[in-house]
Amino acid sequence: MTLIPWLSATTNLGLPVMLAATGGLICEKAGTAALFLEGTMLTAAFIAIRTGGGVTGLICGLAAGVAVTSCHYLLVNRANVKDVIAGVGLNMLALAATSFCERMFPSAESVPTLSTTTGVLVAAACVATLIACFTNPKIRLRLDITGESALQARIFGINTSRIKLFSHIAAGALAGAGGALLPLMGIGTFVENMTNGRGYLALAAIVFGRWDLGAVIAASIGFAALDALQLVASAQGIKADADLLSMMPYLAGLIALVVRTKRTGGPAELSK
Amino acid sequence: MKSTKMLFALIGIAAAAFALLRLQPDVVNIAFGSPMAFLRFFTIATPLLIAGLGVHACLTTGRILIAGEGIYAAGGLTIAIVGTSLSNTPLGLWAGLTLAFTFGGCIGLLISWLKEYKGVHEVISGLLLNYILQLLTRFLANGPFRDPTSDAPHTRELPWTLPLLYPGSDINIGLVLGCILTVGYIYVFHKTIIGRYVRSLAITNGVANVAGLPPKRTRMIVMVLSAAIIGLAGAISIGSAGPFRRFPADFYGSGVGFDGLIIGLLAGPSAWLLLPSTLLIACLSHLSDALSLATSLPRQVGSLAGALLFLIAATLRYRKQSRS
Repeated sequence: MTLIPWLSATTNLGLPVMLAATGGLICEKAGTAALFLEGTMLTAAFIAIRTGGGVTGLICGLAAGVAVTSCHYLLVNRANVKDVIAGVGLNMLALAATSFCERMFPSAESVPTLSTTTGVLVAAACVATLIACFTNPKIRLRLDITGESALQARIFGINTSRIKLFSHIAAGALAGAGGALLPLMGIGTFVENMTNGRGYLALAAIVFGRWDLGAVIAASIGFAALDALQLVASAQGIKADADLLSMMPYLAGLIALVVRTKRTGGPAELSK
Repeated sequence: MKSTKMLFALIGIAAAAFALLRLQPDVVNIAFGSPMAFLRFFTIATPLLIAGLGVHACLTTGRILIAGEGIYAAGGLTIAIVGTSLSNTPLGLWAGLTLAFTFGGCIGLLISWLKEYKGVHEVISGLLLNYILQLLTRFLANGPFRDPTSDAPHTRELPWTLPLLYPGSDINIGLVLGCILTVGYIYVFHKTIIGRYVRSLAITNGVANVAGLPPKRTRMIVMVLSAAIIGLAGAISIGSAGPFRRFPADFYGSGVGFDGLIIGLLAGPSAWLLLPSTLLIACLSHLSDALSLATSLPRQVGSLAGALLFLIAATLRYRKQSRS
């Protein structure tokens, strides 16, 4: 197995997971469990393809991601639903809705895709913005206090609803961009359940990276590298079972959670 | 108040379904127009009832068993492997059911151990385990245990089915087992002191602690039993007559595990509501099958309605406690 195809596949699979993980990180920092990443990515991938692909598809996918996370915000902060349950519900709805629409109105044509360079540039711009946000003491402090104790944040005069809304919008935009890049940097068509658990891998990367931006990005790339093994093996004609190879990132995610979760010091609001 | 809202929501869904069915009268004919179609409805409801029961038991202790779909598939594969390996002995059926129950319990033990002693959230570990079990069952059904005489990827056909209750139909002792389990569950969790202490774990550890029930261990036992019951549901589904009797490689996508989650959530704190919730979801599944046969609508319309029901039930029943 040569290194170049593997690195290329890792980049193509890693960027969506990395963008989703960084989006989820903002939301988790503000004290909301980001279980919605899978559904957000899936919806964004569907919308990106159905709006013609290319840059338009990327922007529409991003907007779709924001729409999904805004629904999550309304469910959690207005209807008072538990964040985990709301996330699972939205994921189920996204899977059912995209599968239904894909079967009802099938589209066999592939749309214009984006080059890997464009994808890398989009991801780099997003990460640079995030680093700027996380190094800004005012933003960082507000996020951290809201994530540790929303009650104390309110006592300090911080509008926690606004912080949570902005964190949801940012998470939606990033996960939406990640979801849109998945088909746009790949086959250029939508396949039912095409995210295939990558949103949950992003979530595992957040926990494994202990809510630290650099570590989260590294963990996402690591999971994507394992994910890419199966694609490269089949492309190279290597005799290995595709199902067993596909299992590796999830197994690694589970092991990573076991190794790193205990006493990690994640935002306190998450465990409430 | 919540019950009233839930009632209104259910009336709304029933009205929407009624309006849809008025437009498509063939759907009712296909779904319930003959005794066999009606009996088929109960065959669909059997694994749903057992899976819903498993999820509900876990929810009563404040834990969400989301790996139901994977456990259900694992239970199905277990009985397929054991049944075809012990095809010459009548013990194969019972050994398969017992091992499916045990294997499901082992997965539940893993999830609960990760949660209680390693701090891994049961939803995240459950979702990852779902994917692992999906790929593992597909690998085994398509690889070492594949039927060599068939082009389709599935295991060999079981030499027997679960004993039928009504000749000519698919209704089997799984339905009786499901009813017995439900009645036993309602009795233990609602009519016994220990059941009430276990249910108090959903709110606080204090009451169970005072009663001498260690919260961690109790939650683990309940999750193990819940997962075991879902494994049993998978085994019953494969051991039935009808479309299966062999484990297809794509069995994972049947949706029963996630439907069980909707049933558990719809039932809320009351175990009595398990039966109507199961009937509602089974009806939805049965009607969506009939709808896809009668019209060009894809079968996913049932999943869509189920997901919407999940969100409605979550909004009404699974709310955060106010911390203001």
